[in-house]
Amino acid sequence: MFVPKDVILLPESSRTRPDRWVAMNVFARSCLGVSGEVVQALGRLDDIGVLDEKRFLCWDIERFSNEDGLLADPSRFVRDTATWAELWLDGTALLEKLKMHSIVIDDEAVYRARFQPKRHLLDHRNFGNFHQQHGQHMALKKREDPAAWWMRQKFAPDLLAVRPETLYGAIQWKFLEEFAAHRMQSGLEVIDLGCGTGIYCNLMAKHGASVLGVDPSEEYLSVARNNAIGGTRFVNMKIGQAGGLSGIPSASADMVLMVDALLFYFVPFYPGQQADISILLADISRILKPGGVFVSLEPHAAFYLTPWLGAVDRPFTVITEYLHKEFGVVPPLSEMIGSLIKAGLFVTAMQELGPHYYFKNFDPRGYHFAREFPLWQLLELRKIPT
Amino acid sequence: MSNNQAVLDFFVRHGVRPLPIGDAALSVAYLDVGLIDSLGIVTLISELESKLGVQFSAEDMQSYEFQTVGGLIAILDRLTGTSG
Repeated sequence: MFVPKDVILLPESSRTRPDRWVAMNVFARSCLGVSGEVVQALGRLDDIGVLDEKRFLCWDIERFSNEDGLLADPSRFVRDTATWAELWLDGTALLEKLKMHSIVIDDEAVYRARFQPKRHLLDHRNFGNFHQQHGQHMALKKREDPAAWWMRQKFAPDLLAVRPETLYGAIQWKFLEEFAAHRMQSGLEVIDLGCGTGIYCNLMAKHGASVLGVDPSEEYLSVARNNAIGGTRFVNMKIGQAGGLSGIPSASADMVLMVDALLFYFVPFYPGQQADISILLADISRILKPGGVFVSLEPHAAFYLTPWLGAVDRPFTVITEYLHKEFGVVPPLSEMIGSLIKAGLFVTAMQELGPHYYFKNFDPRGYHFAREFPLWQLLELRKIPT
Repeated sequence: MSNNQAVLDFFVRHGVRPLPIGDAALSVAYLDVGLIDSLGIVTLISELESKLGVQFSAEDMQSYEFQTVGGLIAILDRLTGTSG
Protein backbone atom coordinates (compact mmCIF):
# COMPACT_ATOMS: atom_id res chain seq x y z
CA MET A 1 0.00 0.00 0.00
CA PHE A 2 1.57 3.30 -1.09
CA VAL A 3 1.00 6.66 -2.76
CA PRO A 4 1.74 6.40 -6.49
CA LYS A 5 4.06 8.97 -8.04
CA ASP A 6 1.09 10.23 -10.07
CA VAL A 7 -0.30 12.06 -7.02
CA ILE A 8 0.26 15.77 -6.32
CA LEU A 9 -0.87 17.91 -3.40
CA LEU A 10 -2.23 21.37 -4.09
CA PRO A 11 -2.89 23.95 -1.38
CA GLU A 12 -6.46 25.19 -0.94
CA SER A 13 -5.50 27.28 2.08
CA SER A 14 -7.32 30.33 3.31
CA ARG A 15 -6.89 32.53 6.37
CA THR A 16 -9.71 30.78 8.15
CA ARG A 17 -8.80 27.31 6.92
CA PRO A 18 -5.01 27.19 6.44
CA ASP A 19 -4.81 23.40 6.59
CA ARG A 20 -6.69 22.26 3.53
CA TRP A 21 -5.28 20.45 0.47
CA VAL A 22 -6.37 18.80 -2.75
CA ALA A 23 -4.82 15.39 -3.31
CA MET A 24 -4.98 14.81 -7.07
CA ASN A 25 -3.99 11.81 -9.11
CA VAL A 26 -3.10 13.62 -12.31
CA PHE A 27 -3.28 10.50 -14.51
CA ALA A 28 -6.47 9.02 -13.08
CA ARG A 29 -7.89 12.58 -12.82
CA SER A 30 -9.32 11.87 -9.40
CA CYS A 31 -9.33 14.18 -6.38
CA LEU A 32 -9.95 14.20 -2.67
CA GLY A 33 -9.86 17.13 -0.25
CA VAL A 34 -7.55 16.32 2.67
CA SER A 35 -6.42 17.92 5.92
CA GLY A 36 -2.77 18.06 6.95
CA GLU A 37 -3.36 15.15 9.27
CA VAL A 38 -4.32 12.99 6.30
CA VAL A 39 -1.25 14.24 4.40
CA GLN A 40 0.90 13.13 7.33
CA ALA A 41 -0.92 9.81 7.48
CA LEU A 42 -0.01 9.15 3.83
CA GLY A 43 3.51 8.62 5.11
CA ARG A 44 2.48 5.89 7.58
CA LEU A 45 -0.29 4.10 5.74
CA ASP A 46 0.16 0.79 7.56
CA ASP A 47 -0.80 2.49 10.81
CA ILE A 48 -4.01 4.10 9.57
CA GLY A 49 -6.15 0.99 9.60
CA VAL A 50 -5.48 0.29 13.27
CA LEU A 51 -6.39 3.84 14.27
CA ASP A 52 -10.11 3.24 14.14
CA GLU A 53 -10.81 5.30 17.23
CA LYS A 54 -9.30 8.34 15.49
CA ARG A 55 -11.22 10.48 13.03
CA PHE A 56 -9.54 12.07 9.99
CA LEU A 57 -10.88 15.17 8.27
CA CYS A 58 -11.28 15.14 4.51
CA TRP A 59 -13.69 16.42 1.89
CA ASP A 60 -15.50 14.70 -0.99
CA ILE A 61 -14.74 17.17 -3.78
CA GLU A 62 -14.47 15.12 -6.94
CA ARG A 63 -16.91 15.88 -9.74
CA PHE A 64 -16.94 15.20 -13.47
CA SER A 65 -16.68 18.90 -14.21
CA ASN A 66 -16.94 18.50 -17.98
CA GLU A 67 -20.62 17.77 -17.49
CA ASP A 68 -20.88 21.59 -17.64
CA GLY A 69 -19.42 21.51 -21.15
CA LEU A 70 -16.41 20.23 -23.06
CA LEU A 71 -14.70 23.58 -22.57
CA ALA A 72 -15.71 23.96 -18.93
CA ASP A 73 -13.10 23.78 -16.16
CA PRO A 74 -11.74 20.22 -16.52
CA SER A 75 -10.07 20.12 -13.09
CA ARG A 76 -12.50 17.54 -11.66
CA PHE A 77 -12.95 19.05 -8.24
CA VAL A 78 -15.47 21.46 -6.73
CA ARG A 79 -13.83 24.90 -6.96
CA ASP A 80 -15.93 26.68 -4.37
CA THR A 81 -14.37 25.57 -1.09
CA ALA A 82 -17.25 27.15 0.83
CA THR A 83 -19.43 24.30 -0.40
CA TRP A 84 -17.00 21.51 0.52
CA ALA A 85 -18.77 19.13 2.91
CA GLU A 86 -16.61 17.85 5.78
CA LEU A 87 -16.15 14.10 6.22
CA TRP A 88 -14.78 12.69 9.47
CA LEU A 89 -13.57 9.19 8.67
CA ASP A 90 -12.10 6.45 10.82
CA GLY A 91 -8.89 4.79 9.63
CA THR A 92 -10.57 2.00 7.69
CA ALA A 93 -12.98 4.35 5.92
CA LEU A 94 -10.15 6.78 5.13
CA LEU A 95 -8.07 4.07 3.47
CA GLU A 96 -11.07 2.97 1.44
CA LYS A 97 -11.67 6.56 0.35
CA LEU A 98 -8.01 7.13 -0.58
CA LYS A 99 -7.98 3.95 -2.66
CA MET A 100 -11.27 4.83 -4.34
CA HIS A 101 -9.69 8.04 -5.62
CA SER A 102 -6.36 6.36 -6.53
CA ILE A 103 -4.49 8.47 -4.00
CA VAL A 104 -3.32 5.21 -2.43
CA ILE A 105 -2.88 1.94 -4.31
CA ASP A 106 -2.16 -1.64 -3.33
CA ASP A 107 -0.43 -2.91 -6.43
CA GLU A 108 1.36 -0.84 -9.07
CA ALA A 109 0.85 -3.40 -11.86
CA VAL A 110 -2.88 -3.69 -11.22
CA TYR A 111 -3.18 0.10 -11.04
CA ARG A 112 -1.27 0.65 -14.30
CA ALA A 113 -3.37 -1.97 -16.06
CA ARG A 114 -6.39 0.27 -15.51
CA PHE A 115 -5.05 2.83 -18.01
CA GLN A 116 -6.66 1.18 -20.98
CA PRO A 117 -9.72 1.91 -23.09
CA LYS A 118 -13.01 0.96 -21.48
CA ARG A 119 -14.37 -2.26 -22.89
CA HIS A 120 -17.99 -1.12 -22.70
CA LEU A 121 -20.29 1.40 -21.07
CA LEU A 122 -20.38 -0.48 -17.76
CA ASP A 123 -16.60 -0.83 -17.49
CA HIS A 124 -15.60 1.04 -14.33
CA ARG A 125 -12.28 -0.71 -13.95
CA ASN A 126 -10.42 0.73 -16.93
CA PHE A 127 -10.11 4.50 -16.89
CA GLY A 128 -10.60 4.83 -20.67
CA ASN A 129 -10.25 7.98 -22.73
CA PHE A 130 -12.14 11.22 -22.29
CA HIS A 131 -14.93 10.36 -24.73
CA GLN A 132 -15.57 7.09 -22.95
CA GLN A 133 -15.57 8.67 -19.48
CA HIS A 134 -17.86 11.40 -20.69
CA GLY A 135 -20.26 8.97 -22.36
CA GLN A 136 -20.37 6.80 -19.26
CA HIS A 137 -21.00 9.76 -16.99
CA MET A 138 -23.77 11.16 -19.16
CA ALA A 139 -25.52 7.84 -19.77
CA LEU A 140 -25.30 6.28 -16.32
CA LYS A 141 -25.03 9.16 -13.85
CA LYS A 142 -26.74 12.11 -15.49
CA ARG A 143 -29.15 10.00 -17.56
CA GLU A 144 -29.11 12.73 -20.19
CA ASP A 145 -29.79 12.42 -23.87
CA PRO A 146 -26.28 12.87 -25.32
CA ALA A 147 -27.59 14.75 -28.38
CA ALA A 148 -29.42 17.29 -26.18
CA TRP A 149 -26.33 17.72 -23.99
CA TRP A 150 -24.04 18.33 -26.97
CA MET A 151 -26.27 21.15 -28.15
CA ARG A 152 -26.91 22.68 -24.72
CA GLN A 153 -23.25 22.89 -23.72
CA LYS A 154 -22.38 25.00 -26.77
CA PHE A 155 -25.52 26.71 -28.02
CA ALA A 156 -28.15 29.06 -26.59
CA PRO A 157 -31.58 27.46 -25.97
CA ASP A 158 -32.93 28.81 -29.28
CA LEU A 159 -29.94 27.16 -31.02
CA LEU A 160 -29.29 30.37 -32.93
CA ALA A 161 -26.14 31.47 -31.10
CA VAL A 162 -23.04 30.10 -29.42
CA ARG A 163 -23.30 30.67 -25.64
CA PRO A 164 -21.27 33.80 -24.84
CA GLU A 165 -20.67 32.72 -21.22
CA THR A 166 -18.63 29.74 -22.38
CA LEU A 167 -15.19 29.56 -23.97
CA TYR A 168 -16.91 28.47 -27.18
CA GLY A 169 -18.37 31.95 -27.30
CA ALA A 170 -15.34 33.84 -26.02
CA ILE A 171 -12.79 32.11 -28.24
CA GLN A 172 -14.34 30.19 -31.09
CA TRP A 173 -17.31 32.42 -31.95
CA LYS A 174 -15.34 35.64 -31.49
CA PHE A 175 -12.57 34.36 -33.73
CA LEU A 176 -14.87 33.06 -36.46
CA GLU A 177 -16.88 36.28 -36.43
CA GLU A 178 -13.73 38.18 -37.33
CA PHE A 179 -12.54 35.47 -39.70
CA ALA A 180 -15.85 35.58 -41.60
CA ALA A 181 -15.79 39.37 -41.84
CA HIS A 182 -12.29 39.34 -43.30
CA ARG A 183 -12.27 36.23 -45.44
CA MET A 184 -15.78 35.70 -46.79
CA GLN A 185 -16.90 37.36 -50.00
CA SER A 186 -19.60 37.05 -52.56
CA GLY A 187 -19.22 33.99 -54.76
CA LEU A 188 -16.87 32.11 -52.42
CA GLU A 189 -17.86 28.43 -52.33
CA VAL A 190 -17.49 27.13 -48.77
CA ILE A 191 -18.19 23.64 -47.42
CA ASP A 192 -18.58 23.18 -43.66
CA LEU A 193 -17.94 19.52 -42.83
CA GLY A 194 -19.53 18.50 -39.54
CA CYS A 195 -21.67 21.62 -39.60
CA GLY A 196 -23.96 20.51 -36.76
CA THR A 197 -26.79 22.99 -36.35
CA GLY A 198 -25.36 25.29 -39.03
CA ILE A 199 -24.53 28.36 -36.95
CA TYR A 200 -21.15 28.86 -38.57
CA CYS A 201 -22.64 28.25 -42.04
CA ASN A 202 -25.03 31.14 -41.41
CA LEU A 203 -22.16 33.30 -40.18
CA MET A 204 -20.15 32.69 -43.36
CA ALA A 205 -23.22 33.18 -45.58
CA LYS A 206 -24.02 36.52 -43.91
CA HIS A 207 -20.75 37.76 -45.33
CA GLY A 208 -21.61 36.68 -48.86
CA ALA A 209 -20.28 33.13 -49.14
CA SER A 210 -22.28 30.32 -50.67
CA VAL A 211 -22.15 27.62 -47.99
CA LEU A 212 -22.89 23.91 -48.09
CA GLY A 213 -23.30 22.44 -44.59
CA VAL A 214 -22.64 18.70 -44.33
CA ASP A 215 -23.38 16.55 -41.30
CA PRO A 216 -24.23 12.89 -40.64
CA SER A 217 -26.85 13.81 -37.99
CA GLU A 218 -30.37 14.39 -39.29
CA GLU A 219 -31.31 15.78 -35.89
CA TYR A 220 -28.74 18.58 -36.18
CA LEU A 221 -29.55 19.14 -39.83
CA SER A 222 -33.25 19.66 -39.15
CA VAL A 223 -32.31 22.45 -36.70
CA ALA A 224 -29.92 23.85 -39.30
CA ARG A 225 -32.58 23.85 -42.03
CA ASN A 226 -35.12 25.55 -39.77
CA ASN A 227 -32.67 28.37 -39.06
CA ALA A 228 -30.99 28.60 -42.44
CA ILE A 229 -30.41 31.97 -44.05
CA GLY A 230 -30.02 32.68 -47.77
CA GLY A 231 -26.83 31.34 -49.28
CA THR A 232 -26.81 28.14 -47.22
CA ARG A 233 -27.97 24.63 -47.93
CA PHE A 234 -27.60 21.49 -45.85
CA VAL A 235 -27.11 17.85 -46.78
CA ASN A 236 -26.76 14.60 -44.85
CA MET A 237 -23.60 12.73 -45.79
CA LYS A 238 -21.45 10.12 -44.08
CA ILE A 239 -18.27 12.10 -43.52
CA GLY A 240 -15.13 9.98 -43.35
CA GLN A 241 -16.68 6.86 -44.86
CA ALA A 242 -15.65 5.47 -48.25
CA GLY A 243 -17.81 7.22 -50.85
CA GLY A 244 -19.53 9.24 -48.12
CA LEU A 245 -18.88 12.59 -49.80
CA SER A 246 -19.17 11.37 -53.38
CA GLY A 247 -22.19 13.67 -53.84
CA ILE A 248 -19.85 16.67 -53.71
CA PRO A 249 -18.12 17.31 -57.07
CA SER A 250 -14.33 17.33 -57.27
CA ALA A 251 -12.58 20.73 -57.35
CA SER A 252 -15.76 22.55 -56.34
CA ALA A 253 -14.85 24.35 -53.09
CA ASP A 254 -12.76 27.44 -52.47
CA MET A 255 -12.73 26.59 -48.77
CA VAL A 256 -13.48 23.52 -46.66
CA LEU A 257 -14.06 24.31 -43.00
CA MET A 258 -14.08 21.93 -40.06
CA VAL A 259 -14.73 23.15 -36.53
CA ASP A 260 -14.37 20.73 -33.59
CA ALA A 261 -14.91 17.84 -35.95
CA LEU A 262 -11.59 16.58 -37.30
CA LEU A 263 -10.47 15.13 -33.96
CA PHE A 264 -13.21 12.51 -34.05
CA TYR A 265 -11.48 10.89 -37.01
CA PHE A 266 -8.14 10.51 -35.19
CA VAL A 267 -9.23 9.09 -31.86
CA PRO A 268 -11.97 6.47 -31.49
CA PHE A 269 -15.19 8.05 -30.21
CA TYR A 270 -16.58 4.86 -28.70
CA PRO A 271 -15.12 1.43 -27.83
CA GLY A 272 -14.41 -0.57 -30.94
CA GLN A 273 -14.66 2.31 -33.42
CA GLN A 274 -12.01 2.30 -36.12
CA ALA A 275 -10.97 5.90 -36.58
CA ASP A 276 -9.61 6.38 -40.10
CA ILE A 277 -8.62 9.88 -41.10
CA SER A 278 -7.21 9.03 -44.54
CA ILE A 279 -10.61 8.66 -46.26
CA LEU A 280 -11.79 12.04 -45.01
CA LEU A 281 -8.59 13.88 -45.95
CA ALA A 282 -8.56 12.33 -49.42
CA ASP A 283 -12.13 13.62 -49.85
CA ILE A 284 -11.17 17.11 -48.69
CA SER A 285 -8.24 17.19 -51.09
CA ARG A 286 -10.51 16.03 -53.93
CA ILE A 287 -13.25 18.57 -53.18
CA LEU A 288 -10.95 21.60 -53.00
CA LYS A 289 -10.29 23.64 -56.11
CA PRO A 290 -6.59 23.99 -56.98
CA GLY A 291 -5.28 26.57 -54.54
CA GLY A 292 -8.35 26.06 -52.33
CA VAL A 293 -7.93 26.25 -48.57
CA PHE A 294 -8.79 23.79 -45.83
CA VAL A 295 -9.42 25.53 -42.49
CA SER A 296 -9.31 23.34 -39.41
CA LEU A 297 -10.26 24.76 -36.02
CA GLU A 298 -9.74 22.12 -33.37
CA PRO A 299 -9.16 21.85 -29.64
CA HIS A 300 -5.51 22.41 -28.85
CA ALA A 301 -3.22 19.39 -29.15
CA ALA A 302 -1.51 20.03 -25.80
CA PHE A 303 -3.76 22.07 -23.51
CA TYR A 304 -7.34 20.91 -24.15
CA LEU A 305 -8.64 19.04 -21.08
CA THR A 306 -5.59 19.74 -18.94
CA PRO A 307 -6.48 20.90 -15.40
CA TRP A 308 -6.74 24.61 -14.59
CA LEU A 309 -4.49 24.81 -11.53
CA GLY A 310 -2.95 27.57 -9.42
CA ALA A 311 -4.26 30.99 -8.49
CA VAL A 312 -7.05 32.42 -10.62
CA ASP A 313 -4.75 34.92 -12.38
CA ARG A 314 -1.52 32.87 -12.26
CA PRO A 315 -2.55 29.57 -13.81
CA PHE A 316 -0.44 26.52 -14.32
CA THR A 317 -1.27 23.07 -15.55
CA VAL A 318 0.03 19.52 -15.47
CA ILE A 319 0.56 17.76 -18.77
CA THR A 320 0.63 13.99 -18.48
CA GLU A 321 0.60 12.94 -22.11
CA TYR A 322 1.17 14.35 -25.56
CA LEU A 323 2.58 11.96 -28.15
CA HIS A 324 0.74 8.89 -26.87
CA LYS A 325 -2.74 9.77 -25.73
CA GLU A 326 -4.56 7.47 -23.35
CA PHE A 327 -7.02 10.06 -22.14
CA GLY A 328 -6.88 12.98 -24.55
CA VAL A 329 -8.81 13.07 -27.78
CA VAL A 330 -6.77 15.45 -29.94
CA PRO A 331 -3.83 14.04 -31.88
CA PRO A 332 -0.37 15.58 -31.45
CA LEU A 333 0.49 18.24 -34.03
CA SER A 334 3.01 16.07 -35.84
CA GLU A 335 0.39 13.35 -36.39
CA MET A 336 -2.27 15.79 -37.52
CA ILE A 337 -0.03 17.79 -39.85
CA GLY A 338 1.66 14.62 -41.12
CA SER A 339 -1.72 13.19 -42.14
CA LEU A 340 -2.68 16.43 -43.85
CA ILE A 341 0.57 16.58 -45.82
CA LYS A 342 0.12 12.98 -46.86
CA ALA A 343 -3.27 13.99 -48.29
CA GLY A 344 -1.63 16.59 -50.54
CA LEU A 345 -2.14 19.66 -48.35
CA PHE A 346 0.50 22.02 -47.02
CA VAL A 347 0.30 24.34 -44.04
CA THR A 348 0.06 28.06 -44.85
CA ALA A 349 -0.93 29.44 -41.44
CA MET A 350 -1.34 28.47 -37.82
CA GLN A 351 -2.83 30.36 -34.91
CA GLU A 352 -3.37 29.51 -31.25
CA LEU A 353 -6.50 31.28 -30.14
CA GLY A 354 -7.10 33.15 -26.88
CA PRO A 355 -10.31 34.43 -25.31
CA HIS A 356 -11.97 37.78 -25.88
CA TYR A 357 -11.51 40.21 -22.97
CA TYR A 358 -15.23 40.22 -22.03
CA PHE A 359 -14.92 36.66 -20.74
CA LYS A 360 -12.91 37.88 -17.75
CA ASN A 361 -16.20 38.96 -16.19
CA PHE A 362 -17.91 35.62 -16.73
CA ASP A 363 -15.16 33.28 -15.60
CA PRO A 364 -11.86 34.84 -14.47
CA ARG A 365 -10.18 31.46 -13.96
CA GLY A 366 -11.14 30.23 -17.41
CA TYR A 367 -10.12 33.56 -18.95
CA HIS A 368 -6.65 33.61 -17.40
CA PHE A 369 -6.03 29.97 -18.17
CA ALA A 370 -7.15 30.20 -21.81
CA ARG A 371 -5.19 33.42 -22.27
CA GLU A 372 -1.93 31.67 -21.38
CA PHE A 373 -2.67 28.14 -22.57
CA PRO A 374 -4.55 28.23 -25.88
CA LEU A 375 -7.52 25.89 -26.05
CA TRP A 376 -8.01 25.97 -29.83
CA GLN A 377 -5.60 25.82 -32.72
CA LEU A 378 -6.29 26.99 -36.24
CA LEU A 379 -4.55 25.37 -39.17
CA GLU A 380 -4.89 26.62 -42.71
CA LEU A 381 -3.78 24.33 -45.49
CA ARG A 382 -3.72 24.65 -49.24
CA LYS A 383 -3.94 21.99 -51.85
CA ILE A 384 -0.59 21.28 -53.46
CA PRO A 385 -1.06 21.98 -57.21
CA THR A 386 -0.56 18.86 -59.29
CA MET B 1 -44.04 -10.01 -15.81
CA SER B 2 -41.34 -11.36 -13.49
CA ASN B 3 -37.88 -9.83 -13.36
CA ASN B 4 -36.49 -13.00 -14.87
CA GLN B 5 -38.91 -12.82 -17.79
CA ALA B 6 -38.35 -9.08 -18.30
CA VAL B 7 -34.58 -9.53 -18.61
CA LEU B 8 -34.75 -12.61 -20.85
CA ASP B 9 -37.40 -10.93 -22.99
CA PHE B 10 -35.12 -7.91 -23.47
CA PHE B 11 -32.27 -10.07 -24.75
CA VAL B 12 -34.62 -12.00 -27.06
CA ARG B 13 -35.61 -8.70 -28.67
CA HIS B 14 -32.26 -6.87 -28.60
CA GLY B 15 -29.53 -9.53 -28.42
CA VAL B 16 -27.54 -10.20 -31.59
CA ARG B 17 -27.94 -13.93 -30.91
CA PRO B 18 -30.03 -16.10 -28.55
CA LEU B 19 -29.04 -16.71 -24.94
CA PRO B 20 -28.25 -20.32 -23.95
CA ILE B 21 -31.25 -22.28 -22.68
CA GLY B 22 -31.87 -22.62 -18.94
CA ASP B 23 -29.47 -21.74 -16.13
CA ALA B 24 -26.52 -21.38 -18.54
CA ALA B 25 -28.02 -18.02 -19.55
CA LEU B 26 -27.52 -16.62 -16.05
CA SER B 27 -23.73 -16.58 -16.19
CA VAL B 28 -23.54 -14.80 -19.57
CA ALA B 29 -21.63 -11.49 -19.34
CA TYR B 30 -23.78 -9.90 -22.01
CA LEU B 31 -21.46 -6.97 -22.83
CA ASP B 32 -18.23 -8.98 -22.78
CA VAL B 33 -19.63 -11.49 -25.28
CA GLY B 34 -21.10 -8.72 -27.44
CA LEU B 35 -24.75 -9.71 -26.99
CA ILE B 36 -25.63 -6.01 -26.92
CA ASP B 37 -23.48 -2.93 -27.45
CA SER B 38 -23.03 0.26 -25.42
CA LEU B 39 -26.14 1.83 -26.93
CA GLY B 40 -28.03 -1.35 -26.10
CA ILE B 41 -27.13 -1.02 -22.43
CA VAL B 42 -28.72 2.43 -22.31
CA THR B 43 -31.89 0.93 -23.80
CA LEU B 44 -31.73 -1.98 -21.34
CA ILE B 45 -31.48 0.32 -18.33
CA SER B 46 -34.30 2.65 -19.37
CA GLU B 47 -36.57 -0.21 -20.49
CA LEU B 48 -36.18 -2.27 -17.33
CA GLU B 49 -36.58 0.79 -15.10
CA SER B 50 -39.78 1.88 -16.78
CA LYS B 51 -41.23 -1.61 -17.17
CA LEU B 52 -40.53 -2.71 -13.60
CA GLY B 53 -40.87 0.67 -11.87
CA VAL B 54 -37.37 0.64 -10.36
CA GLN B 55 -34.34 2.94 -10.43
CA PHE B 56 -30.84 1.51 -10.66
CA SER B 57 -28.34 3.30 -8.42
CA ALA B 58 -24.84 4.29 -9.50
CA GLU B 59 -23.54 1.49 -7.25
CA ASP B 60 -25.78 -1.06 -8.97
CA MET B 61 -24.42 -0.05 -12.35
CA GLN B 62 -20.81 -0.06 -11.17
CA SER B 63 -21.06 -3.59 -9.79
CA TYR B 64 -19.80 -6.67 -11.62
CA GLU B 65 -23.13 -8.27 -10.73
CA PHE B 66 -24.84 -5.88 -13.15
CA GLN B 67 -22.80 -7.25 -16.03
CA THR B 68 -24.24 -10.78 -16.10
CA VAL B 69 -27.78 -11.84 -16.92
CA GLY B 70 -28.22 -13.60 -13.57
CA GLY B 71 -26.67 -10.71 -11.64
CA LEU B 72 -28.98 -8.26 -13.33
CA ILE B 73 -32.01 -10.36 -12.34
CA ALA B 74 -30.70 -10.57 -8.75
CA ILE B 75 -30.37 -6.78 -8.57
CA LEU B 76 -33.88 -6.38 -9.92
CA ASP B 77 -35.15 -8.88 -7.35
CA ARG B 78 -33.62 -6.76 -4.58
CA LEU B 79 -35.02 -3.54 -6.01
CA THR B 80 -38.51 -4.97 -6.37
CA GLY B 81 -38.36 -6.87 -3.07
CA THR B 82 -38.83 -10.19 -4.84
CA SER B 83 -37.04 -13.35 -3.76
CA GLY B 84 -35.77 -15.54 -6.59
